[in-house]
Amino acid sequence: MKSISIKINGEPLALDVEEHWTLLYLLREHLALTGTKEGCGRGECGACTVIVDGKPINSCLVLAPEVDGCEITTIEGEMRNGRLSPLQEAFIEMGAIQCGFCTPGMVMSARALLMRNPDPSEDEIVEAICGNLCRCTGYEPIIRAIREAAKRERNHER
Amino acid sequence: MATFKYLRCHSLDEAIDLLATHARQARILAGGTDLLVSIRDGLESPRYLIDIKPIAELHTLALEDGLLRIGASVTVNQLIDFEHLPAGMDAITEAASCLASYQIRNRATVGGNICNASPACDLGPPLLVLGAKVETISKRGRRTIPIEDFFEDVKVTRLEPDEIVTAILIPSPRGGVSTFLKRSRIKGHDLAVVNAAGAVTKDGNLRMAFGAVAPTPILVDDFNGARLDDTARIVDVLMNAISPIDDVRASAVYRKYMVEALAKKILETLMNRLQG
Repeated sequence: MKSISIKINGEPLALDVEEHWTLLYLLREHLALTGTKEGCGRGECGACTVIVDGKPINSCLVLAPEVDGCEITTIEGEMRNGRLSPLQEAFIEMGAIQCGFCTPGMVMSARALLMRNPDPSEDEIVEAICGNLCRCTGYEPIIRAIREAAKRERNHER
Repeated sequence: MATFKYLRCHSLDEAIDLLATHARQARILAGGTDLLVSIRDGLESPRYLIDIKPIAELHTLALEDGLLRIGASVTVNQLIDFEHLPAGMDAITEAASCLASYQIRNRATVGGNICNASPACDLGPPLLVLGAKVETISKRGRRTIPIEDFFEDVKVTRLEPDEIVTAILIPSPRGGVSTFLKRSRIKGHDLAVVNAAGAVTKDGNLRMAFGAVAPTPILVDDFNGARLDDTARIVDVLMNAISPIDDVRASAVYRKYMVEALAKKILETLMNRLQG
């Protein structure tokens, strides 16, 4: 066991983790943050994407002890004051969600993109979600949703 | 996942001590994007993972006397975003930009990409054509290994079991130009079917390197004096240098065609860049 201190969706938390746990396992099985999904478990699909210290990463490929001292944002941290974010609303409106399994990871990749670039081009959106597989939508509605959310957030809707 | 002990190192001394003690039972953990998959698949089961990311000096990314120093723990995205890359090193950023996905590039390190020594590693060909050197440390001291001597076989390097890569050093091309191309099954996140890099020095010396067509990324730097526009002779030399195999991603025959196709495009780009 290792003792780690993290900040998860804004809340400081100290806890003991097994050294071989992945961050994904810690989130889902011990913190009950089951919004983050396990798809392939090997960094191919992006369903487990979360934001660590401002950067999107595959939580299936990070060990729990590695995130000691880090700030982590999961899909559960995307809502503000009980309301969906403009990004989440745009995903719903544009039909960017079908089965929904890729959505939490997709939204996290999009959130990290908007954090570093509030006005991304289509190519920049494609690059940002290149590691997030979606087998339903064909990606077009997702790209439209991210563009629309970027526009709304730039207009201070958030 | 199999169990192991996670050891976090804050200094190089600590890391080489631990590695000397545990040698063959330990693996160095950098980005973990290859290592954790291979542990998950049961391909390896180290008892100790030595995390070198907290070691500050391994994060250096700087130009020092015309030499680009890329610390072993520098991530692929950090390399892409580096603003002071010398002119002529396009091959390295072009390769880094198409390595895996954005998320993976936030974790994957330059040191890890070469230490994993996949025949298809995307940073192998650009480092080979740019004449990079690999700087290492062990309890026995430091040494530098030319990158063309670093890869030994599929997933095997010439590192000793107690040795850690500290940095990759790339000399400034000084008027030379370079480029990289990759052929995959899909446009997005995928391993290379063939990847390729080329570089020409200011006085016209050509170096080309290819991945996924031999047990290691290979460098070809002797074209029997062929001129840059003598594509047929250059391709002949390349065909004798490669030894591709059939696998799940492509057939050997397809890979040969791709080496020829990529080589032609690379030569064209190099000639354009030399004039530009």
